[in-house]
Amino acid sequence: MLWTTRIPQQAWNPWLELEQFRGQMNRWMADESVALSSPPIQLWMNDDGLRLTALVPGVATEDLDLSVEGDELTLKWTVRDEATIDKARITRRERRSGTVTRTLQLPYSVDAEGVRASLASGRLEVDLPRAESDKPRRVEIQSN
Amino acid sequence: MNTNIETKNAPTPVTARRRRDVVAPRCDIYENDRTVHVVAEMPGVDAKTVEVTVERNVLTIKGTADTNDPEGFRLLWREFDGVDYRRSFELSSEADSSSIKASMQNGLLRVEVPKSVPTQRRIPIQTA
Repeated sequence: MLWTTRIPQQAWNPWLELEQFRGQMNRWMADESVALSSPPIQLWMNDDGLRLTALVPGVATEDLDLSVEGDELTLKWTVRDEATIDKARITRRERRSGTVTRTLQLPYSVDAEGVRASLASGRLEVDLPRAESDKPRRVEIQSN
Repeated sequence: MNTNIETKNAPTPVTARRRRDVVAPRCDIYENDRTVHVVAEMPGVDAKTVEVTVERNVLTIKGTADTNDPEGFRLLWREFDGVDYRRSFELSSEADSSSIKASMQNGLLRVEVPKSVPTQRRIPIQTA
């Protein structure tokens, strides 16, 4: 399963919320299993970098794979099926197991070397510093 | 004129905007001969705030997931928010509610409800 989310680079506006809602509905309609197994994300921005938070309950560090290339971030994670580990009878199943890949197109390129990620209580936090080459630069104006 | 466009466009902090929603966590339930396992997804919940209670034959799980808006950042995209998780399950008569165990790992709450061993007691028949 794979899908891509494009995140626009702009300040808050009501149309963005509408756009997010439309995206979520589309994901629901397109494939129920994708919607149910997708970790929801939050993305924050300032001039120096991005902060991503994703909810990945039940995913261990070794089952989580994060890669960055330019302005594309790919998140791949595996949810293990616990019931089969225990060889038990399943009474109710609401959680989805399996491997899912999600790609985010970020508003700017990030410095892959400087990316830091941490996982606590099923919440993934990723700091993505903005690439130096991508930062806005002040241009000196020369006068004669 | 002193107009601060940056502040005007900044999103209102979530904490000030609304109360947390109450949601039922997604759960798997599986069992073998001795135990019933309940696995509930509660990401972002600190183990200290989790409450597992049994009253009569109802097992209730509760937890709070807070989201802290990072300082110095502005919001671009939000697909989740802070929530209160809450869900109740009715236990069958074979559940041994006195020795229920619960643990929290990677945002998953696991509750183990042991089944009581059925005992047979013979009632002596009194004769006159």
